[in-house]
Amino acid sequence: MFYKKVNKKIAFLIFLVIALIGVWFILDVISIGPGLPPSEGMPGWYIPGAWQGNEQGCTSLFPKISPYCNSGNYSGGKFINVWYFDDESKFLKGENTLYLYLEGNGYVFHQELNISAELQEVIEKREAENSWRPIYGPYSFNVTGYKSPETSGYFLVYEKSFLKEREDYFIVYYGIRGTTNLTEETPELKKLIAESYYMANVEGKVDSLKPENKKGKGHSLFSWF
Amino acid sequence: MIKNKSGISVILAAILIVGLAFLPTANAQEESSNGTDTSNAISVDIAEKVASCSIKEISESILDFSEWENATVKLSTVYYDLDGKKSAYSFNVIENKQQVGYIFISATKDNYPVLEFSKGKIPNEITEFTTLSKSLAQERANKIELESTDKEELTIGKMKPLYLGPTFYYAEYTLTDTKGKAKEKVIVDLPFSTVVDFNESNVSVPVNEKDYFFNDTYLQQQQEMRKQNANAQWTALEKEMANSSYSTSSSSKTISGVPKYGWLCGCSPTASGMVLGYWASHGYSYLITGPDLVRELANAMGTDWPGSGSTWPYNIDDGIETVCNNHGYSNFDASNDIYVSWTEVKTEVNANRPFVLSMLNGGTGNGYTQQYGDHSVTCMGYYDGSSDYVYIHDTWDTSYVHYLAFGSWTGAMATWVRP
Repeated sequence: MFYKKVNKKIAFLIFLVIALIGVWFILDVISIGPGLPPSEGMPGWYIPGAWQGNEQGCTSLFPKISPYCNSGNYSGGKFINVWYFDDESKFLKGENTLYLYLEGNGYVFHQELNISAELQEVIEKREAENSWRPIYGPYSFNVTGYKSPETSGYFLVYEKSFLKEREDYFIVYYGIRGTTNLTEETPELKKLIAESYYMANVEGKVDSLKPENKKGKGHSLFSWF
Repeated sequence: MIKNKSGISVILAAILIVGLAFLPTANAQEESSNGTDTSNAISVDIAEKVASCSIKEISESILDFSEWENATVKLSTVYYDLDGKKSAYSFNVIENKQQVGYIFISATKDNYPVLEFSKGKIPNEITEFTTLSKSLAQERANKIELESTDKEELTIGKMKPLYLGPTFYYAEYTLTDTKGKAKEKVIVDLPFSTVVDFNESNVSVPVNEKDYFFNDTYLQQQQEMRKQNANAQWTALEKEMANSSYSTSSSSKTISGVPKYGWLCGCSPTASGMVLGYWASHGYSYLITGPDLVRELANAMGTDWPGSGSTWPYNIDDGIETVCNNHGYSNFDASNDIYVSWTEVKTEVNANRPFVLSMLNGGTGNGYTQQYGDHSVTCMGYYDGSSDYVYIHDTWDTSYVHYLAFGSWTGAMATWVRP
């Protein structure tokens, strides 16, 4: 009788120890996060209103350089087209393909854009709405300009937007459909860029497109001229 | 040795999760000849009534859908699961003779009545998707024909729509030979226009080491709970419908003043930041807000940042308390609860206390086509109707509140934050 009681106690203690180790084990081997969308959902990150229904398929104005591509339309014929890459080699290949296409189908140029004023406006608007988005990238950066009969606008590249050790590359086109005077439209496009701008990684890069043969020659504007 | 055991556990967890996601509930239930589960089946008439009442509830509770107030519903498609049982009905929402959205109602009591709703078109009604899916089936038929010795031509059967959960829409085609014998079934993922093979072990369900957290027992309990909850909801609905009292007997609540922060460092510190950001403007003004707060939380909860951005769940509550202490508030009690119930959610929201909800295989929030996956969000409201939803600030969208069906995850943990 006595041994039975002792055995029961031992069994209970063993059960308790196993249960405690089990709970510890369970809580010790899973982590939550980073909590970012899968690749298919990534283009929406740079498309204002994407998650309220303003997200369409990829524009046909440019070559298909990534399977993760979407666009958003805005007033006055403005639109944003985003290509996402989760791998650097695919990004470099896509960037080069796009650049060659642009050179063959329109006028390509490089310039610096400063969106400080537009970003300040966006920040104030968000503050009023009790919201906030990280914009740790530069407020002034190089962009690739593009003019063609079908569309004109600016290409921007966002590299490693979220984490230093995570490969996220976005090529974003902010443009207007049809023949247009790009200089006149630039103030509106700068507002659109400011609205879409996102950079959570202080070491991330915001830059213009760079064709393959011009890489590795520094990051300054017109570095290859 | 430990590594080997870990590997086995991962495989077991993976098999279980894949099984839970894709296998029908293992009940010995009666089935009629047309593949309908007779004991738990929902008729199209009942589904239509539920859809009709639900869109009114939705229009009254969610601002984005107020235009659905006087809308009607019209049956669009009957969906099946992989075993050929009816899984869902989709209805078009019609306003002023125009299609303005859709709603999916479960065809079985084993799932929640309202499965999803949205503006836009049902994937099966998007010609681009259906045409492409048929082309893919044709490609597959051609390939089989080429590879076969007799070069027998295969015919593509009528498309059978499959629904395996929110945003999981597929088209199934049966390829038959000249004698009418079925040779193969081709399943195409409609939104992604790819042929999928559910027999392959590496189906696209995210399974990795993280899934340890939810052990076999926990997963089974969650699955059982979901089934019981769904059954209970249907029983309540049926009673209300029998008494003709089924109307807009819903309730909802939103905590105002919860900030919307965009993702920074990781989802857990960002979601926790929104909770403390709320308290900073509700009597605890020494708490900081915005990016400085999120970074401090990331450090306090040991988020792997700037590495992977992931956080150990057991650190979330401790991290929140540490940050509160750092700013002179030792009275904050943060605690993790891995068995979060609907009643607890309502109680917390009714008490105006936003909380962190960390999900494994989280479902799809409204407006998205992708699932949340393993993600922490800030819960700041609820909708309690024919289906239950949590209102969330999800760290992705800083402009709008999103909602997510309660229970649309494999597992979830709430971190209650109470001053």
